[in-house]
Formats: sequence, structure tokens, C-alpha cells
Amino acid sequence: MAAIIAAGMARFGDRWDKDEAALVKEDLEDLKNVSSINAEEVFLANISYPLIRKNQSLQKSVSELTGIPIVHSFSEECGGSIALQQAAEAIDSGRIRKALVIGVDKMSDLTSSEIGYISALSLREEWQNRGLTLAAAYALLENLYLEKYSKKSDEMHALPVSAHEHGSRNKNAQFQNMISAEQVAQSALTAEPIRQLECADWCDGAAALLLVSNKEAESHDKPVYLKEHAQITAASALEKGETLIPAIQKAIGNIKTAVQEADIFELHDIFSFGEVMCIESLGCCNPGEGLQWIEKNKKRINTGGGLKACGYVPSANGLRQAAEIMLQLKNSAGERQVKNAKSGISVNLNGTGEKAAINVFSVEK
Amino acid sequence: MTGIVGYGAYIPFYRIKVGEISRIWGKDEDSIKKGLGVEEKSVAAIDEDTVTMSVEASLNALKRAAIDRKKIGAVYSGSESKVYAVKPNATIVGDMLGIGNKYTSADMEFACKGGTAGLQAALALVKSGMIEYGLAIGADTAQAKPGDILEYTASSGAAAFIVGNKEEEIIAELEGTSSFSSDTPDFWRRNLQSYPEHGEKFTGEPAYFRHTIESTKSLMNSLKLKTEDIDYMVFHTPNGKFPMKAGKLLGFPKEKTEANNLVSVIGNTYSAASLMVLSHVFDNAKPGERIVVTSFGSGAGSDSFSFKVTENIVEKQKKAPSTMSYVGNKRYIDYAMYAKQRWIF
Repeated sequence: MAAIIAAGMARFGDRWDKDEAALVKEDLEDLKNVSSINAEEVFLANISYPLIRKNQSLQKSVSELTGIPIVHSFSEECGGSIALQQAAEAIDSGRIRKALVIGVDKMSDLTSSEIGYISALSLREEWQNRGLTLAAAYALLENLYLEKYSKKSDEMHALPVSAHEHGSRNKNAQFQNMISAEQVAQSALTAEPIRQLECADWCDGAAALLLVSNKEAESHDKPVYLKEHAQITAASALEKGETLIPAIQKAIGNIKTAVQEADIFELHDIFSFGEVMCIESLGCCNPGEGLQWIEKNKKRINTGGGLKACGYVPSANGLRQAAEIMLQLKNSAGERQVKNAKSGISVNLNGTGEKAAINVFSVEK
Repeated sequence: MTGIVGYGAYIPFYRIKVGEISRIWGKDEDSIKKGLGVEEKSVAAIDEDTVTMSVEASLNALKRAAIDRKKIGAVYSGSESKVYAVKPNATIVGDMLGIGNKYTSADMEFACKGGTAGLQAALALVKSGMIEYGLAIGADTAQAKPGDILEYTASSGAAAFIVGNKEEEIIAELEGTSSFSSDTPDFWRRNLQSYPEHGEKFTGEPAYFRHTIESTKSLMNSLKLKTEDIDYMVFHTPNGKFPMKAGKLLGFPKEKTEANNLVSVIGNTYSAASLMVLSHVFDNAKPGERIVVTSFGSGAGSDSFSFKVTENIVEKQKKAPSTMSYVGNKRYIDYAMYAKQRWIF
């Protein structure tokens, strides 16, 4: 398989003065501080260029910036995670020894109604075109959950509070301010029962990883190995009328134990309730007990702030998650370090889980 | 010596409450009020437009200036809701005021800062000696697409200022002015469109705050002013939150920016907004006090002015209705009446 040896980040948020290429440039400069790049191929994830700019020249710009002529392109919501998996496969096959994986998007140029439409890209086409947004889809799922397990919506309000607490220790996070459950409860309703402070903000940012073969990794300090990876496309929980995500359940297949025993969890909290669906779908606890499990384990979930505090940059999201796990496993996460972290898992979704991309990392080969 | 010799405001009689608008669109009243810091906004009557309101405000300014109106050598009208797309508001106002024909004139358009652009030009003409008096007006019947967030604040009103260079007439001496402009597309309305569009949160940090703060700082630097030297800091008031935050960012204590709260009871009068707050401050200012005003217009730019209030203000304050007297004189209307008055149907 392959190992991550370095990560570069461009701060997530409203980066009014930077376009996609400029954000990638920030990534590369950050990477160069820790490692020489020298990769053979680039695996680039991006949706904003084709979708918003209606143009595909970002690949050329990235090739010029990196000096690397082969650029593979991935354009879907969880494209960062998929690009990472494809780079690992290329290394595993023996074709290349070193890959540069980049995820970048610029979403802040869109208005909120445009984001509403784009958020539903992965939902069934007829639902999207009848006006279903991702917030509404998650609201339907959360209502289903609240009714089935006799919960109240305000029980979810502790989740964004924890996300912001973690984000306050992450200089690359969009939101570094602390919030209270009371503030969450008082924020405007986005789609009942989901409130504004339970929603991740679609924003700008970029993340990059350097991936090498296991053999080459030996010559680097504390490499982090990609132990398992999976991507599954399946009927969504919403289509099935349940709150466990079939794609996650299928993706973890026969690696369930490794997944459940992970020390660090990077979950898809695009809406706070998503975190509950992820943890229950991974089989960490019984359905309906996700909130209690999260409360007990919150220090090792979304340690960098998750999507809620870091901001949601679709194509960079999976790579930001991987970079956070890398920091934790290298024991270099500073103030937010989880003690003795040896393994971690990232869950990255399209829509409500129409596709799940799962990566498992470990300090061991 | 150059400065203001007369000022006047006009706010229409009708108000609509934020809660009445949120009721129509199924939005949460409290979170909108809290988010915008606005309770209600003024609405022009069906027979009012930017010309009639400009005349009302200018008449108040003339009452205070007590000058021979035929000596006004320039009329500038700043608005983004002109009565005609092509044909100036300024000449209609000039004729209605009976100032004769020996004046230069133009309509200024720079989103919400057309009024201060006119004030700056009038001050320059007076200072250079090319004219004796100049009249600058900011007026709007601001448009907002039904259902858009702008609908809660876009309101109507006018403010007018007469500038001159006779020491015995000046109520506030101009100490300096500066501007900051850039191509920033935060808010716009294309030709033949009925309603403006905006870049939502892009209207904040890179637009309002950048221009407002840079322009104010550059004026303060050139005049070597510190926040302690300034008694009132007036801003453009697109909502209740932005001016308070701008004041905080510049280091002003809350009480020096409080006058900007006028927006909470009249809404955003666009081209008139910062000038309306200035007229409100003049109503209460004492001789010797210093007022800095910074406008903001989308697209984008800010003009800043520093005025030092003189003894002459005392007798002129009461010569015309105060800004707050218009605020208190009101009748609430419902959304149906609002829709009629704003020509939504």
C-alpha cells in the first residue's frame, strides 16, 4: 500500500482574494516547508471549476504550478478521498513511487440559493429538481431518527459546540470561535429541526498530501500508512427511509473491527446529525445510541473541528480529514493532540451518503 | 473657511415593521431583527419619489442656511432611484426650489454614496471660489426584490446640505476629506432590471468594511486625528450591525457611534443614509465638537469628511424640523399597502 509523508493546507474560509490556483499554490508552499515534492503524478480533486466556472483548465494550471505533466482529475463531492485512494492504487500497482494529491474548491462565489441547489447534486435528480436541498434531506432523516428513538432535537446541540471547541485550536479552521448549546438553540432554523449553527458552511480552501510507497516511506520520519480504503455507491438512507447509511455499512464490510477500534474518527458532520448517522453506520454502537457514544468519545472525534468548524470544501474535505489524522498519528497535533493515537478513520460522503469513501490509517504498516 | 451652512432631512410618514415582512415570507422575525439590528423601515407614499423628498430635505436646509437661494451655484443629487433613467433629478429639484438658472448640476450615482460624492464636489467648488454656495442631496426610494433579505431594510428618505465659505454662516467647518475606491462587485443593478442583486456575505468584509475602514483611517492619518479627538463617528448604515462593528474595529467607544442606530427605526435610506445620520448628529451637536462621517457605496467606495462644529449651529438647529421629529411622526402599514406603495403590483 502507500503512506502519507507530508500534508499542506491552505486555510479554509472566505478567501475572497484567492482563486483555485492561488489556493493550490499556498498548499504547495506549505508542503515545501516539510518535504521536497518530486512527485511523478498529480491526483487533483475539484468541483468548483467545472461546476461554477464551467471550465476545465484548472488541471493545466496545476500542472504548470507543480511542473508535473500527468494530472488525474476527480470531480465529485468526496473527490479528495477518491483521489487519495486512486493515488494509493497507482503506487500499489508499482506504476509510480510518489504521488501528489490535491483537493481544492472555491465555493464562496456562490449565493446561498446557488449553494442550496448545488448541495443537492448527489441526491436523486428528480428530488433536486423539485427543490429538495441537502439541508432538507438531512432534516427529513433527523426527524425520522428523533421519532424512532424518542429523542429531542436539542440533544444534537452539543455536537457543534464540541466541533467549535476543537476548531478553536486549529489555525486553518474557518471558525475558531467557541459557541454554546444555547447559541445553537437560538440560531435561525435552516430546515426544521436543523438550526443554522448545526450546518457546515461551504467555503474556499485547499489541502494536499504527499503519498509514497511503503518501502520509500521507511526513509521518512513517522509515515502514516493508508491501511484500508473503500468507496461504495448505494441507495441512500433517505431512499430506504432509515437512518443508517447503507454505503458506509457496505464499505466497511470485513474490516469492521479495525474501523471500530480506531483511535481518531473524522466524520462527515456537514449537518451535526450526520455525525450520529456516521458513527451508528460504522457500528461503533447500537442504532439510537450514537449521541451517548459521541458524548463519551468526543475528544477523539473530528479533532480539528470537523466540517462544522473547519468549513466545508467538498473536494479538499477528505484530504483535510487525512491530514488531521496524520498529525494526530505523528503526535504533532499540538494543543489538540489525542494521547497515544495509533490509528484513525475518515468518512467522507456525497450528499446524504449516496456514496461513502472510507480510509483507515495507522502508524503500523 | 469652507463648511456646511445649512442641513435638512426628510423621512416619509409610513413605516413597515420587519415582523410584517417576515410574516409574509415565513421567516423567523426575531432572528431577522437580531441579525440585522433593524425593527422597522420608512416607506415613501404613493405620491412621493426621490425628487419630492429631495425638495422637502432641501427646504429644511434652506430654512437653516437662511441665504439668498439664487446664489446657489451647484446642485448635485445623489441617488440610485432616480425618477428618470435619463434626465436629471437635480434640475427638477433646482427649479422647484426656485434657485434660478445660474447653477451647474448633475446627478451622482455610486450606489449608496452618490450623496457624499455630490457633497465632496460641492465643497471643492466652494473652496476653490468657483461658486458661492452649493447644494448636495442624497435621496433614495430603495428597491428590494420581494423576499430578498434587502427587503427588510431598503427604505426611503432624503438629506440635503448647503455648503458655503462665509465664516459667520458656517455651522460646521470642513477640516478635510478623503476617499477610498476599488472595483468590488458586491451589489449591482443592471440596466432595465427592477431590483438589485448582491453578493451576500461578500458585501461585508471585502466591501463595506474594507472601504469604510481604509477611508476613515486615511482621513484620520492625514489630519493626525485619534479616536479621542472625535466626538461622533458617522457611517453608512446598511443595517444596525455593520456601523457598530466598523466603529469597534476602528477603536471607537460605543457611545461615539450610537447615532448610527437611527437605522433601526428607519431602515437603510441608501444614498441618504450616512447624510441622514449626519443631520441627526447636527441636531444635537455642540460648538467645538468634531464629527467624522464616512459613507459607503457598493461597487465600491467610501468618502470620509471631518467637520468641526461652530457656535453658529446653536441658533440654526431649531429653524427646521429635526431628524427625530420625522422618526416620531409615522403610521404603520401592512405588506399589502407596502406592495402598493412600492409598486410591487
